[in-house]
Amino acid sequence: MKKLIGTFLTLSLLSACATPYQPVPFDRATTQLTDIQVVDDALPQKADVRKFATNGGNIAGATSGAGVAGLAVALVAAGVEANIAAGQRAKIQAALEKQHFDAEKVFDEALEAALKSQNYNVSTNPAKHESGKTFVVVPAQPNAEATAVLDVKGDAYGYQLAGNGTMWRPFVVLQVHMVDAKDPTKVLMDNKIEYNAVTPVPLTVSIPGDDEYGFAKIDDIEANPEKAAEGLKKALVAAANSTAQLLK
Amino acid sequence: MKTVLKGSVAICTLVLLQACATPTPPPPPPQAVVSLGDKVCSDTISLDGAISLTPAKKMHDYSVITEVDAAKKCLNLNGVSGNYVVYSLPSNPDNHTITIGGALDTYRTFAPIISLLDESGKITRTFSDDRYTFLGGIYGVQLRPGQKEKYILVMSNPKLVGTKTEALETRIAVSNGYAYNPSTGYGNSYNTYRGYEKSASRTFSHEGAVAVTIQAIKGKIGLPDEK
Repeated sequence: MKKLIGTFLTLSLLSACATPYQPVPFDRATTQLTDIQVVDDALPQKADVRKFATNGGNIAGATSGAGVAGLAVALVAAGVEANIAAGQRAKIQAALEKQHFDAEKVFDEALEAALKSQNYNVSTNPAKHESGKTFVVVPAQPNAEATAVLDVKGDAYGYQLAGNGTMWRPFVVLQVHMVDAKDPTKVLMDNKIEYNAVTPVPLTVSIPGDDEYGFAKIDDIEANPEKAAEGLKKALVAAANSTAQLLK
Repeated sequence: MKTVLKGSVAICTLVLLQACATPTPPPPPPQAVVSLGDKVCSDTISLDGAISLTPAKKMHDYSVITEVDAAKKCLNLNGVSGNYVVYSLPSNPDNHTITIGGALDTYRTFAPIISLLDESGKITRTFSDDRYTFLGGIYGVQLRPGQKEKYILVMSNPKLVGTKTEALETRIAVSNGYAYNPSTGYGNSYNTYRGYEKSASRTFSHEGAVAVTIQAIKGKIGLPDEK
């Protein structure tokens, strides 16, 4: 229920168009960076589902302002929709678990390979994300010359449904943030990356989806978990490559 | 009397014609331009007519869209030729972040090569092909100019022109509705959302829109000490 209401609020906020996000572009030529410590805690443990324009959501939206009876209908519709989404989430997670799908491993390996191909020395920073804070707080490393700490905060990944009549497709939403290891108050890069965005956010990285990975129903994902895992893997690798591209 | 009658008939005819006239449909979205034709290009970058990225009012964010068409100048640079446009940066250029590139149109995207220039128009750096990506509704780069960089050159990239991007786009359409509540005599407006998917095919082009967003890091654009 909370997630559904959150989706409505997100859509409303997006349409309200607040102050645009301000990225921090990285400049390798001036920073002379050679080493990157990647925070080893990028993604949520489990895949999620995102649903946008559902029948339940539209009924809830249309009736919520129409008096007490309307509000009751809206709450029932939202509740039914939330229960449906919870069931779909569980089915997708089970399908991915069958494939021993490890999103963190897929993302970390792809990011490390991409950064190494750009001639960075890559190591791991053990810092963990704390609840209530977007990015990790890292202590200053006075002896760390030409070194940065790269923090990837995976907001969500999984399968999304834009609306009735569209397909279930992979999505990934990340926030990326890099600071100077010697002086962590110095932000070297900040951006957001979204794979298969339904509303591409201006001034942030938007990766289009892959037409090949679409499922008409959750049952189709359950029937073909190999392909479901493959589609999500492609999405995570694309997001990792985009993260590395910001550091060229 | 006869003249008045004739006049009335003419006016009525005009009114009727206007009422029945089918509105002119908008022109179709432009297609990619993949050749410069016989256009003669210059070997030097002209800074005349550089488009200012300093807004008339004090602002933190400012966006400019420039239509690059056949009338724009073209340039021979490093063995290739392309249409170009030059933007002049505000004072304190290093206090800004800039997102710049070709805007995604229905069928085409301006194919950008982006360089920064110093005060004399000399190139200080050029973004290599592997730096460009999709940023919201553009294909381009993000950058922070150096203190001595005063202009941005955006030139069409003939190596990219003619190539296509095929993308699956998932979007949400919003329509408005109104529900009347007879028990209260009032109603409420609401939005209905519809998700849809489309396969978008765009060709990189010598012509099209260039979109720039400049943001001040501190203060306002060109005025870092402004609150």
